[in-house]
Amino acid sequence: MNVSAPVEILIVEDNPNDLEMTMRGLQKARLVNHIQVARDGAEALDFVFCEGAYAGRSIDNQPKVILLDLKLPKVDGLEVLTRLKEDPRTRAIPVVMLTSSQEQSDLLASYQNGVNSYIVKPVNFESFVQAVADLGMYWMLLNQPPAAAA
Amino acid sequence: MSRRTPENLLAERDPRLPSDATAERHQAEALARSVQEQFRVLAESLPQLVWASGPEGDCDYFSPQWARYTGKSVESLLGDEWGSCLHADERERVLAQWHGAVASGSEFDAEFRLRRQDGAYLWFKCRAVPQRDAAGRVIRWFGTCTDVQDARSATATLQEERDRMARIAKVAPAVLHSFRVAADGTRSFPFGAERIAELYGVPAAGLEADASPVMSAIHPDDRWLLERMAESRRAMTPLRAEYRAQHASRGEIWLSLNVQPVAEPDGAVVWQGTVTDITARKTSVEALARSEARFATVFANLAEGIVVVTPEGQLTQSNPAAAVLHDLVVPQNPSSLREFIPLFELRDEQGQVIPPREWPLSRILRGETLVEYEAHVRNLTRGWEKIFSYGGSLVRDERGQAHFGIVHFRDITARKHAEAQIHALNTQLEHRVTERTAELESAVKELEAFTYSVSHDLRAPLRALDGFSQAVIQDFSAQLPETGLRYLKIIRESAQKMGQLIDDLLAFSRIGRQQPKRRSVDNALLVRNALQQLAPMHEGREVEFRIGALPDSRGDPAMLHQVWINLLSNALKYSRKTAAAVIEVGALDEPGGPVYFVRDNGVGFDMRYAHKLFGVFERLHRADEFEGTGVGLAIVQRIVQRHGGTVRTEAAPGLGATFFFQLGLGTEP
Repeated sequence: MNVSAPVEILIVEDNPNDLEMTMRGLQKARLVNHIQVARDGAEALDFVFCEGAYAGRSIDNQPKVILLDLKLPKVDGLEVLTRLKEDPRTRAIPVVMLTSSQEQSDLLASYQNGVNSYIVKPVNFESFVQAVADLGMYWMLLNQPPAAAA
Repeated sequence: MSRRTPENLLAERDPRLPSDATAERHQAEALARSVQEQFRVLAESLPQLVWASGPEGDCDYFSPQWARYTGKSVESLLGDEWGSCLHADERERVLAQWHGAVASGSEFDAEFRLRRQDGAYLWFKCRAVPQRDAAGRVIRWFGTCTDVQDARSATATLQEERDRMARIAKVAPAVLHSFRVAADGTRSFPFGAERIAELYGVPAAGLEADASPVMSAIHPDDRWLLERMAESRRAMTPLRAEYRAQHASRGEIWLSLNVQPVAEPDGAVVWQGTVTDITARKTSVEALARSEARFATVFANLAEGIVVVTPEGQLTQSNPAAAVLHDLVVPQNPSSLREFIPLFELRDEQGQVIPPREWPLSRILRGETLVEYEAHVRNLTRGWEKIFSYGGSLVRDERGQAHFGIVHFRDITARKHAEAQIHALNTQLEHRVTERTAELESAVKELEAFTYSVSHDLRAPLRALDGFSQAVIQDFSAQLPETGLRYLKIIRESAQKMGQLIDDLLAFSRIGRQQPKRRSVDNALLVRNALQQLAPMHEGREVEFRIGALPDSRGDPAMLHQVWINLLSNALKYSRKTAAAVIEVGALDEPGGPVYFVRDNGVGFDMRYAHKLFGVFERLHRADEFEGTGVGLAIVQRIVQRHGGTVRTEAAPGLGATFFFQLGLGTEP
């Protein structure tokens, strides 16, 4: 994958089945072409902050929306979210939390950490894909980050 | 008025004496002198005051006693002048009576007071009789005045005594009276009837003649009084008795009789003396006796031992419990502390021997007051040991001197053992509670981890099952036979069903862990919102909603919203096959707060299975009739229970079902 190409969506997902399904859905809906995938929280942070394997990447080239799974290996979704929202360089990137959990505590924590939207992954994947597509589109269209505009 | 002497009075006034016969006259004169002399001697020797008057009542002779008595010369009394010696109160009456007697020639008889020379007035009885001539004319009056002062005084004293007696009888607490039984047996109260009547509460009239009302007032059980009276009469002995009578208004009264019989000449017997109302004394004496008896009973039957001891250590009184508690048989029951001490040993809680001078009674005798003093008591002859709890104090007399010591005690051995056991159990229990709490806490943590894991991880494979089955259908349906496609659809449906089950189960477990946050809840609003949310279930169906008045309640709005959703969705679901579905929502006013209900006219169910209705995953209908996971009502029940309330149901197959719920009053946390 071309690291310098503009990334429209960053998907942070460790479950390959969910990932494949999400990718398939998004592509089927012809929503996006440039999808970046991170398989855990650490990788997601490396990508966003241009560190580790992504050290050569420009920090200005940020995704228009991040679909972030809540439960992730190494660094979990909530911590990734916290780090993103703490940093002024990444604070403006809309983050949509994806989770199979309807736990009130998860929801609260996510909102407290500045999540922009929250999608509970249903078992019925069609409706999930639909939700992701709608929300992703919404944030992509809405997100004209100040940094990019400048 | 010329001076007259008895001699010339007689000489002048005797018309029988002839005047011409000198010898006879001399003889007669000698006789007359002798008579005169005799009269004078007689008149002067009499103790009475003697006087005489002419036929017209003009007094012309006063014996020398007059002068001695009045201090006046006899001359100064002549005529009516003697009247000046009369008491002013009687003077007029007496003189009038005297002249009246003179005028009528009848005997004069009067009592009056005469002034003595020292000024005192004494009573005299005066009698005067006329002397008449042959023709019956009054020629002279002779009178005597007899001193009746003493007799008079005695009568007056008697009268005064009588008056005084009457007065005393009126006011004395004891009723002075005389009771007479005539020879013919007639009973009466010649004296004191009025107060007797008052005492017995009977009418006073007639008691002087007939005592029957009083006799019938005597208490039927105390009629022996009459026999005692007969005895008293026979032996003429005083009668003393205490007996009861029925007073008309006061009820039963107690009387004390103290009388002395006196026989009368006519064969009657009169008892004189007193009868006294002693009701108050009797009742207080009786009350005291009752109270004493009560205390004696309590003392004897008390489970607590009581011993009374003199300051010298003599055990003067003890109740049976005292002996039983100490295991002492009566013959060897010690009579003093000295005898008692060698039989026992006392130890404190630490097992230290308590010396006899520190034993409860010793301490009490020194003036200490003991409350709940505990000691281990060993009976040295029998060998047992018990734990006693002692109390007591020293009782002092009016001068503050030690009067007696009183100690009471009870056996608290069983209680002490029970206490020790309870204490041990409590310690054990606390320990166990700590353990269990830790276990429970870890279990709760595990459960949380488990549900978290279930919600996240269990659903991921289901999503893959559903998603990839869908992908196969979408991408490879052309290569698949009809059956293959149907199987894939079944796989998808099953995955989704399982997802639903997991979601419901998680929701149910969440409610169990969630504490309701109580606030005022607008149930009418909740029902409107729920129906709006459930619109997909009834769009295109003919459903009549009858929403009654729904009072506000106190509860967790989100949770109660869930209750209404579940009940209404149930009602909609099970009335789906009813042509004209009617769903009624309302509240009943019942003690303990409103009872909300949701009623449908759907398929209903058999009440025999009602108990299964609220269990998790319990269903009364087959899945191919009505879809569902069997968690909805379980959630309803759990929410209502978390609000301290109750749910109940009424239903019949084919006639619909009604679900009621009532919330607790909201005092629980």
